[in-house]
Amino acid sequence: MSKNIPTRLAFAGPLKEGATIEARWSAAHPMDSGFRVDDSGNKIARNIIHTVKVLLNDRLILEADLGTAMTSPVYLAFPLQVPAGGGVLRVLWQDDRGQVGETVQRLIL
Amino acid sequence: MNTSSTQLHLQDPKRRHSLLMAAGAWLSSQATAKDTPLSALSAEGVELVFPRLADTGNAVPLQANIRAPQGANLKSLRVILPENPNPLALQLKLHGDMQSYQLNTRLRLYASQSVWVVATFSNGLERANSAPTVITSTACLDDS
Repeated sequence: MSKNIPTRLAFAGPLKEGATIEARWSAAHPMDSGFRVDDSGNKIARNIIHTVKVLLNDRLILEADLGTAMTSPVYLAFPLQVPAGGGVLRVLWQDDRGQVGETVQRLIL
Repeated sequence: MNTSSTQLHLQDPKRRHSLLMAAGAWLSSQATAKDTPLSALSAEGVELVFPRLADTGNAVPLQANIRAPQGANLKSLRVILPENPNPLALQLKLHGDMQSYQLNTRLRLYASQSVWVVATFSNGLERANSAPTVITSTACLDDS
C-alpha cells in the first residue's frame, strides 16, 4: 500500500563549476510522529522518513538521520559544490514502513 | 484556604527568599544536569537563525551557519530539541570536505525551548550553540 509521495529537489545559486549552491529537497510525506491519535482515538503508528542519503555523481556526500521533530512536509536544504561539467544529484529516502523513494535533479552548467 | 496560606507565606520576606533560593537551586541543577556537555562547548563558528517567537510548533524554520576552524572540515551535525519526546531531531554525516556549511530545515517543537546544534569537525573538535524560542501551541498533540 505504498502511496506516491511527491518530492521536489531544486537548486539555488550560481550553477558554475566550483561554486557553492544550495540544494533544497522536500517531500510531502505525512511524517506521522506516533504521538497523534485518529478520530476514533486510536494511535496513528509512527511513519517518518528516517534516513536520507544524498549522492552527487554516484558519490555519497551526505547521510541524514531524521527524527520525529522533522516537519511534514520534510524540508532539508544543504550546500554542495558544483563539480566540473555538472552532473546528477540524487536524494534517496526510506520511511518506517519500508517505502523508499528517489528524487533526481540534473546539474546543467 | 490553601491559596491564602501560600500567599501569607510568600508575603513573609524570609520565607519568600528561601523558597526562591530553593526553586533557583532546583532549576539550575536541572539545567546543568541536562546541558553541561553541550553548554561547556564553545559556540565559535556555529551561528543559528531561529525565530524568537513562533506561532505554532508545527513548523519552525532553523538555519545553522557553521564555519570550521582553520584546517578542519565539518564532519557531522546534530540538531537537538531537549524538550521534545525524541530530542534528536536531525543528524547529518558529511562525506565532502566542506569548511563552511549552511543548513536550512523546519522543525516540530513540543514546547518552548532552546534548539541546540552540535558540530563535529575532522580534527575531533566539537562546537555547539543554542537559540531559544517561545511557541504558543505544541506540535505533538492534536488540536483541542
